[in-house]
Amino acid sequence: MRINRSWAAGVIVLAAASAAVTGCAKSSDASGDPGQVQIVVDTGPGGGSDVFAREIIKILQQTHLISGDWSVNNQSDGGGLGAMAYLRSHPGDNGLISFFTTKWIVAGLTTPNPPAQLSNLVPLASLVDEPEIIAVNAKSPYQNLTQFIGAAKKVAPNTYTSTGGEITSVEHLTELAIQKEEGVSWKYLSYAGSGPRIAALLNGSAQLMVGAPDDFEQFVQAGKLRVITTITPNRLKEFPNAPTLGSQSLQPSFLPSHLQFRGIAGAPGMSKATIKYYQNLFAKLVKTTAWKNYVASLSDTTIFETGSQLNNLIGTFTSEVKGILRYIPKQ
Amino acid sequence: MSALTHLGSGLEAALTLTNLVWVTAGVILGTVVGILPGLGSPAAVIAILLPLTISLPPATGLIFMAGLYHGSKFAGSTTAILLNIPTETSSIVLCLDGHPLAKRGRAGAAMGMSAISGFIASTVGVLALTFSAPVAARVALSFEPPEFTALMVFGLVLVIVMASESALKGFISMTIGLLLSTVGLDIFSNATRYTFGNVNLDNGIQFLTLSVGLFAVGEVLINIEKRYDTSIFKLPWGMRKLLPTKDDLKTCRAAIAIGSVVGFVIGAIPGGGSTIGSFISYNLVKSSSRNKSQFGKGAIEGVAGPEAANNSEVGGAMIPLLSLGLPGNASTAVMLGALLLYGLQPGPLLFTSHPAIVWPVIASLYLGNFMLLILNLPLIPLWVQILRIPYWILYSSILVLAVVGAYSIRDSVFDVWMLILFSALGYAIRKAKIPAAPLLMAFVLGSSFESNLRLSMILSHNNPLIFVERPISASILAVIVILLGASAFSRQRRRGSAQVDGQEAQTEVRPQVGPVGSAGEATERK
Repeated sequence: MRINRSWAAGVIVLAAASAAVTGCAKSSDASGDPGQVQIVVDTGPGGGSDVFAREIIKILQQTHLISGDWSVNNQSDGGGLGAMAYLRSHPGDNGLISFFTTKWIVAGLTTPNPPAQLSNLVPLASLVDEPEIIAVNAKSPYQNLTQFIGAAKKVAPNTYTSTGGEITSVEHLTELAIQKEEGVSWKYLSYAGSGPRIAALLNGSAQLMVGAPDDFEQFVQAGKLRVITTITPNRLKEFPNAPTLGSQSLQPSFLPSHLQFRGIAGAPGMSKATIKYYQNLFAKLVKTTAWKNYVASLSDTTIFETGSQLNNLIGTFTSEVKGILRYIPKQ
Repeated sequence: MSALTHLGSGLEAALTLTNLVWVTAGVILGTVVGILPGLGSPAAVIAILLPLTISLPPATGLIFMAGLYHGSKFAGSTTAILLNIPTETSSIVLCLDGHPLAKRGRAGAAMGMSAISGFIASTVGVLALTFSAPVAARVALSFEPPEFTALMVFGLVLVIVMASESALKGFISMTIGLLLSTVGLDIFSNATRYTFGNVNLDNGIQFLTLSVGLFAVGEVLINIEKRYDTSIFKLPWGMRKLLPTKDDLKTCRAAIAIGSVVGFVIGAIPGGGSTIGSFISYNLVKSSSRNKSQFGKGAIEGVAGPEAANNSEVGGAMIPLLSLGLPGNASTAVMLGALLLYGLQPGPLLFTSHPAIVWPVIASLYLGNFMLLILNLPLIPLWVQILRIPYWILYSSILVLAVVGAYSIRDSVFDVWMLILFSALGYAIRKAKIPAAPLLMAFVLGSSFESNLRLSMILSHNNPLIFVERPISASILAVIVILLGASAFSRQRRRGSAQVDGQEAQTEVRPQVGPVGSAGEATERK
């Protein structure tokens, strides 16, 4: 009977430990200033959203806009779905906010029965608009996207290859919109991180890549990559030789006007006083010199919107992006 | 010799009192936090302490991070050896011989060998990084999806070869691992596979819930079937018996050399990572050892080789990280994040634009390992005392740590349920005498194998000849064929000699037992 007792002991310990950890839910604070704040992001430590959140905490602390230690909670499942579901499962938690991206809206639209969507949360403010740019290997003959498209049209479909994130990523959606508008097609290599994508461009596996300016900056300076187009209203000062998409008459009609923007959303049921607190706090943040320098270093643009203007921004992106999503190949 | 001058100046810059204090603090903190499963992987430890790191000046912060990295890596080896808990993928191989050594009363020797081989390999890694970074970065870039696919196939073939007891059981274990690796969101098609609509599975199964369930809790469940008065861990008294002997060091010379070279080379390939490095080195060490039969039962070389690979890999992984901004594993991804938070963009210009930071960081990797050796070698006998705790208390503590660790990965009760599920799986496969390591290795390699296979097919318009048309992938595939042939030949020979031995034994036994009995029956009657 010793075996049964041992088993019983093991089961009791497991059950007790399970009960202990399930009882660890965070309590919420109903006052305007929530004190300790946790920022939920959709990447693992070191990923884009994680670094963005930590940078903002650093600026908030350096500029004395907050005094406490804010922490980062990495919920990296499902390209934002995990993060949204986490927030949704903590209603009324005033100390829980997230830095969402447009990727979250796409995840909600492309997933059957999503566990949560941005509309289930409390959008507080938008923060930045991130430009996308298009690069090729420095040895490539193409000086702009028009030349690349022209070359792709002369060969069999899917001869050329591009690289980017998952099939629903902003990089792929951008390329898809351009391909559909121009009646051309090339292959697409999906990689989870920007590192392998750059490697694919450097070693010739891929001939084209859409990405953020800071993905390419060092490689362009080192003479290894060339930016051939910026998807921005005006040329970027970091890449003065790269023409804009619009200047090449390549503005696809169904490309969202704001391709990728980031904002802040709170857990559902957040108190009105706390909503006001966060909006005031981030309004102050975007006016600081540290913030302006940070945004400039990424070639981003501040778009601070709250209330109905924020809802319009989200609503416009949602309807615009649906135009491209129908072209995602079914596999 | 400018690289050596840079390394010298890097060491000089790193060797300030402030930096020494921080690297020491990093090693201690890394070891203490790293001992907890869930928080214990180097990536998790560095991420937890990232706010503290970035509050320091860049060079000091990155040096502190190097201390944390080495401390937590050593803690990972400690939990693998003492408690059979691999907290990161590269520790899986360490469980194969480290834990059996602990059961034989040689936990201290295994831990000491882990620290010593790690230190030697780290020296090799840092020197190789210093002198071969530009060449290695070019070679690293020549690895495209077909080459990675071939490398992953190599790893999976080793999984089968490693399961030398029974290739069939190894294959079953590997298949389960490959199936589990397919769970989650497929980035090629945006389809969710085997998630049953549960968002917690979108990123796949958490490595830690699988590894802790399969190895640690699975083992606890098997052991609690035994009687309480059975001693599982034999532990000698006296300091000397708790550390590696001169003979151990002599035996492990070749293993350390093999591990150091393999770890560095594989680490330098972006996406290669230490898992496959430690794995390949284990198999190479095993095949070159005179002591083959002891592998898997507690061979000290089985600790030295993979641990050397684990540590020299750090030097290798710094090449794609610093020169190309390509993180090879979760730990280097967090380091990349820290560099970005300091306003340093890793890439081809980092070495020339920020030499005052890059070289002290490289030097600190070495310094971190040196401090680890100084601080932890004398403490090994103390760590080993954990095994003196009565095992009904020890095992209860492991269960609590496992549950808390699973929960703390992402504050989710779901992971606790997954832990319970994988613990049951661990128990079941142990009962069926199916090895757990191939399952875990296949799980780790599976997703990389699948995505690189699919990328290769996209590149080649679904033409499988792409794998033999390219020199590197063709060479790797040729090595696989040779390896499989050699393995089949050696199995055949073993079977042949076993049959001869059996016939000889029957001839010898028969006259003693008489014409009606077999050797087995004779033994039973006695």
